[in-house]
Amino acid sequence: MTEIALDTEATARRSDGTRLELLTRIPRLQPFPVSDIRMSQEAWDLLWVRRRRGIFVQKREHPTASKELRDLGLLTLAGSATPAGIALTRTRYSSELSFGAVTDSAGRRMTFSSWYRDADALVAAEVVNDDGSTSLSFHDTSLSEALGLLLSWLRIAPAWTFEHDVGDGEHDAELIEKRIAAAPGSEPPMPDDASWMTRRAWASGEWTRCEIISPTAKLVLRRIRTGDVGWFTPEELPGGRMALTPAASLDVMRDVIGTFHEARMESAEIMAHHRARGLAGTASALRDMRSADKD
Amino acid sequence: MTEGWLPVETSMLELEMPATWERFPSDDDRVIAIAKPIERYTVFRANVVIVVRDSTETVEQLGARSVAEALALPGWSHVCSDLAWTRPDFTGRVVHFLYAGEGTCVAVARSAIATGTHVLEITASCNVVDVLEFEDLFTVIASGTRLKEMA
Repeated sequence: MTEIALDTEATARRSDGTRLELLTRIPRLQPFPVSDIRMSQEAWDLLWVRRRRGIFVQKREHPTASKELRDLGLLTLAGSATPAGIALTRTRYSSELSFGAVTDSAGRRMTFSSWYRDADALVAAEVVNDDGSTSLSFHDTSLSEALGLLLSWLRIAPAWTFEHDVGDGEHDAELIEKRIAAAPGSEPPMPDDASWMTRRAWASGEWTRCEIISPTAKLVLRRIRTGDVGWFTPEELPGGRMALTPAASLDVMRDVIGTFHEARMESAEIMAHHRARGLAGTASALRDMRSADKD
Repeated sequence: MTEGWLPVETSMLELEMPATWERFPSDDDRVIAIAKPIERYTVFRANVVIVVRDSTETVEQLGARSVAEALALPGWSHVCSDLAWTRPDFTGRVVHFLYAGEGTCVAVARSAIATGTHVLEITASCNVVDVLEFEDLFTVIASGTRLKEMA
């Protein structure tokens, strides 16, 4: 019979003697599907400004970003967006919803931005390059695939989840912040009253605070990924305390999808409200959404 | 029989499906495939495929194989969850994964149990955007599926 790798720690936690397969290797086997269209944040900002305002209002020189865009065929030698550059920015230009995520871990902030118009979507996902720098991976895609890309980018992956066996997961909020900010190898001391789930997570690599955000609908969902061994739902408590409740990865996935739907409904209501005011109202709604969006 | 649901049966399997859904013909008593009808705005047709196979796999082997099969799909795929599935008769696994279809990210819930002599796999798929709409329906179909030898 085929032998498979087991999660011996999690298996030992089971009282009924059932064995649990090893899951912690899975995230490394499913990297984010990086696109061929990659550029720096500066290049994307420049393309966006040139697309919206043309070359004339752009006073400052941007030699590096301009070269990046020219190499990708997105900017002409004269400095205006090419048809490919215009096409890449089309969905964002007419978007009715912006949705994304910000993660913080070991002092590094990463962003995932996406814009939606009907069934179309544009994704700009920050990814780490081989040399440790980051760039934006662009995906001119469908609404459905953009949502899948977000779930992948958040590294939502299987993990065995158990309730706290000791206490209720309440700890000093500042200590949790230090754990998230810690580089591997320099983690703060583990709380003495930590449960088995918290102790396992504390010893399992980088902690990442994930905020799923809709600037359009002004929604934020917060979760903490603890290495590759699971997730916590954080809740700020009075007196500088924070409760960490273990969350199954399936529930994190469902919560992200639920927040996405909530954002779509909010955005549709905003658009409907403004449409009732006629064309001027629609233009005003789009302006509001773009100002909520970072540009 | 539950109102609004239809019985589906072969010599090896029995379950109920929504009365509005379509059952696809199969010459194999070990396979049942059902799907939601195509409507005006259907992007991806939600469907469930039930397969029973002779197997002595253990539950943890079943879980590991479901994950490996999801990762081995051609093109992009991503496994989101692997959970113990506790039924009154057997313990199994539910593995949730995503894969890229033609312009659609498909979300799959594969529920499976190992009896020691057979493996029963219920693979339920829908557009990832529709996961919350279909999850209860998929759970009801999976929970109500019986191998005849277990009935």
